[in-house]
Amino acid sequence: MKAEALRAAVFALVMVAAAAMAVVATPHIYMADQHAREKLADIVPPAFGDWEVDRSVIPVPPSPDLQQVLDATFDETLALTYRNRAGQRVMLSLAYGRNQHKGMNTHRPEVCYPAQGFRVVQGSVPVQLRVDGREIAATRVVAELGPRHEPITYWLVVGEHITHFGYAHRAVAIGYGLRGIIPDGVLVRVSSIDRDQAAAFALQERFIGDLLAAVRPLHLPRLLGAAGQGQDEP
Amino acid sequence: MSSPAEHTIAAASRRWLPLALLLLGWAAMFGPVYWGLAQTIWASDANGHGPIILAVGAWLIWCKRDALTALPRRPALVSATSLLLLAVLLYVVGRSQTVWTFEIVAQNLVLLALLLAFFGWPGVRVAWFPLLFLVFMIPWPGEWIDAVTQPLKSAVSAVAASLLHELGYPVGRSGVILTVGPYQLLVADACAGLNSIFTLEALGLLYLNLMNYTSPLRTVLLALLILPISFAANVVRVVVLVLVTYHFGDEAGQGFVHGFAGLLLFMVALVLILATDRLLGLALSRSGRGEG
Repeated sequence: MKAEALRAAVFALVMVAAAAMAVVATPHIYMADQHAREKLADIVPPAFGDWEVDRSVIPVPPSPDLQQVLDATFDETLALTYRNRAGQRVMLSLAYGRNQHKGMNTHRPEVCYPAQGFRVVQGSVPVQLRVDGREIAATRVVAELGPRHEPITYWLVVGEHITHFGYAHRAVAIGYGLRGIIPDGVLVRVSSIDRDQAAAFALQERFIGDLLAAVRPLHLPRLLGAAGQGQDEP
Repeated sequence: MSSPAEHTIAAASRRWLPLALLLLGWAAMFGPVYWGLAQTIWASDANGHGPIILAVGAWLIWCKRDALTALPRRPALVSATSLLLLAVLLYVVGRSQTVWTFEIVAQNLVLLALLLAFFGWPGVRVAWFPLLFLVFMIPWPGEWIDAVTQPLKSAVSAVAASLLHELGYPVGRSGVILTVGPYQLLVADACAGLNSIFTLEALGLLYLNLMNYTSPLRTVLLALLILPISFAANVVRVVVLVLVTYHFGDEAGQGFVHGFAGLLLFMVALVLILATDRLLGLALSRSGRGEG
């Protein structure tokens, strides 16, 4: 009986110690509080290169479920449609998540498009974009809703890293977490409505190049992580 | 000299002291987990069944207390200690990095470790059902949920749409959007029925356990049949919601009836499960293997 009480005491102690260790190990420094975090709308210029925001297009608002998530997590989204002189339209959508430990799977195009009724006709294809001498590990998806055929290029920045959704994303977040930091992140999504996929992806790549060239160097790390660092403000 | 009354109190406190200590440890370790879960994924569609499983699991273990204490004490301390340490590791990583799956796996491992430390492997054998039951509490990683939810949702929408079409309703479907007459309905994640599948599997297992069936064939068959049953119940829910919207308007479909349809889902599923079980019992007893 005595041995049993002792054993119980030891086990209980280990359990209490585990709880204490977890509290100590929990990260509580938000990366977002360590750096300036401007509103997404202030980062992206309304006109650059050959492109200009097309005010005639009203972007589809987020679905009610998504809006709930956004409101609950201090997240932020920005959706703009740009038009060039040739009349081609490209949609730019940015989603900001302050706490990447919570992830942002709701924003993941492979999840968020079907949630709005789209069908993913071509699953995620990883692609290395070479823009402006930079490498961006992006993903391409094609979604469809009735006659609307929408090729999408997107990438995800978590903390200082460009990463992919799923376990890679989780690994980056946990990597920060074990150092006591809660990273924030941005999803950059560019899409256009076009049956010709190759043309659409080429147009999107050009748009991304023009956009990154126009964003102030100070803000580039928001969209590119560490790959966007290193330039001084001119 | 102590009086007999004092003697019993001392004996009782000695008996309850280990349990009280362990419960304290448990509360310190998993109290915060349950609190966190209650704020987050227990409030979500895919894991809403969590608290019920926990409560029923706890009750099932409580039911085993006499069987456990009657066992000869053969603690398996080495296995117990290693499992406990593994659980602590998972717990600390899971808790600090918000990996819910790790936290609940740790919970189940701690329970296993405690059974081993005090009752050894015979104790695990006695409590096998609650241990298995609590596996349903482990939240699936979001990845898996997403991977299963989307196709399930499409399938539920497709079956519901073709059923309504057969009934002569003007129904159209594009992915997970159903149009009926002037109305458009988006089949939400909840309608994929992942949550209801977990809950129904757990309830089905509980039912089998309470009925004291000993035929493993019957248990396995019913557990498998719960999957299509749950699918069918979700189709019924979507069909009912479409019909309500079509006949009584959008507000009716989104209001009280929407919640009621969830309840209906469970009633339909439970009736189907009981009926299936009866049929299984009949079929198995006819072939001379069941215990009808």
